[in-house]
Amino acid sequence: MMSKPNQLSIATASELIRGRELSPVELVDAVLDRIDAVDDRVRAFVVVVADRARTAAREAERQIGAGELRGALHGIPVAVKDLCDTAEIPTTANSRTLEGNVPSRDAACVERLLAAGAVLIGKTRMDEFAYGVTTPGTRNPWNLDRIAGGSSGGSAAAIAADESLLALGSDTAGSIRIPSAACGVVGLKPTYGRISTFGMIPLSWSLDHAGPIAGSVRDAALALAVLAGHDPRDPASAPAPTDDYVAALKLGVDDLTLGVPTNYFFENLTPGVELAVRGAIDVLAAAGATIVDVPVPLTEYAVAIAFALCLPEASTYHARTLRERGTLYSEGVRLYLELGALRPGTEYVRALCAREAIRRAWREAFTGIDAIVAPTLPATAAEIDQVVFPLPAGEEAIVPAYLRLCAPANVVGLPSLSVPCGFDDDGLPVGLQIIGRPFCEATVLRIGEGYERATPWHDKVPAL
Amino acid sequence: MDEQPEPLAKVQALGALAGLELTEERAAIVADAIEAFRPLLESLDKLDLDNIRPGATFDAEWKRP
Repeated sequence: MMSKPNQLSIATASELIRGRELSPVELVDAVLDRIDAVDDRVRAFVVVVADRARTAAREAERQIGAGELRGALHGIPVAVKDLCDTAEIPTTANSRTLEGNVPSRDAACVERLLAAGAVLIGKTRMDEFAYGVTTPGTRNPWNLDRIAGGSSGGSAAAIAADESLLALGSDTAGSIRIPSAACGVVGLKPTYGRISTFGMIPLSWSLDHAGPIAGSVRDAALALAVLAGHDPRDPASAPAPTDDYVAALKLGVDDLTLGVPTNYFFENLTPGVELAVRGAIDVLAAAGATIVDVPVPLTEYAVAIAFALCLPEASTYHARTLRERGTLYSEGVRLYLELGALRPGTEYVRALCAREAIRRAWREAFTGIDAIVAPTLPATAAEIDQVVFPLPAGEEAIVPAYLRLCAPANVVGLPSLSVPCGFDDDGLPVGLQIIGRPFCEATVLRIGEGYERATPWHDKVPAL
Repeated sequence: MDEQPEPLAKVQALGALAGLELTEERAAIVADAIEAFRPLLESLDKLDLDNIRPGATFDAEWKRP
């Protein structure tokens, strides 16, 4: 075996486990050893449940030995963002307001992974209540002086550093795709309602999505196959049929038409990001996809809509805690919550109408195309404590810069995948974003796989 | 008409309606945040939303032709 077990893809590890060439115990031990070796520098995890993971791995080994293989995730280590409830394991969403919170049951997405035989190894670091894009404390495995991005930064960094084979994140305005792009891994925000958010601490109900972060598109597809599906406990969960996401990967891209936005998405990018993403689109064209220019109207309002929805929704969820224990929040989150509590209700309703307007405009934009291809971020990973990006049109603060290309897919609710598509001159990963039609994750993953198959980026690993 | 910063008393009154007791110092911080976000949030006023109602879900028109 060339790679260490913790460096394997889920697809390969699963094959080896099925063939009894790799034991889940050996795999989990390798992951825990890796965490011991690097996580004091990367700081992806807030809790590592080593004993529980080893026990679960032994049980998986026993089950598989008894011919009870449950599927591709059986025996596969998974790290979970610390806003997903985990039974008998603290869940704090990186907030002092939840110190000592130990849920009695698992979030739906955790439940599904564990039922599929995955082995929970720990909880990952995040921005407090997912209200941010930097994941304070976590470092980028490609350059420890850089941020991992956020808010699911611990999950993305854990994958990039080979500290887990799979991780769960959440995405309200980019929180899966931002760190995935910054850390050079694959992150999928599915269609709104595709994966249950039951048991996840919300940031903004109408924008929140759960999704996988993994080392390859195939691994993200394997995870989605387990995570997708209707859950009556989540009011937003969609009763839409699921697809065979893994089988779809074989189909290639030569019958697909991809839209390259003529507005918004390619404005004010660093030269390194633009070069890598334009190059990725050329690769998809060479793989047989038809590339067309497409205007995406009203997208310039997406960030405003996202904030106008998120601010009051978050403040509604936190209203009581803010009133009674507001000083326990970090200053930035407290201010967002106070701001959201004071905005007029008419502004919220106007944002709901604006979301419908942008949905209609995007529905027209999708006429004749299967997906939009664009950058995930306008710039790569910021330095720790960096406040603004120097971009061609002037300086832009980190938060709006990271949100502006990701938030549109949350506002419209469309599936969006970020895949690594190269490196800039600083050696930092660049992300290609693929946005599809509602409930067409299979197509988005096909495009990602078609790109990945033709390029070496997902095989690159940071030197830690 | 130019937008004026939210007076602190108004911020405190709004806070009280939301059950928040904002000191003058805290109200000043919140007022600054309101001003910082005003251009972004009020940019939605430029949209013509007269014939649009919220609450629509994905429909068959999204399906590939």
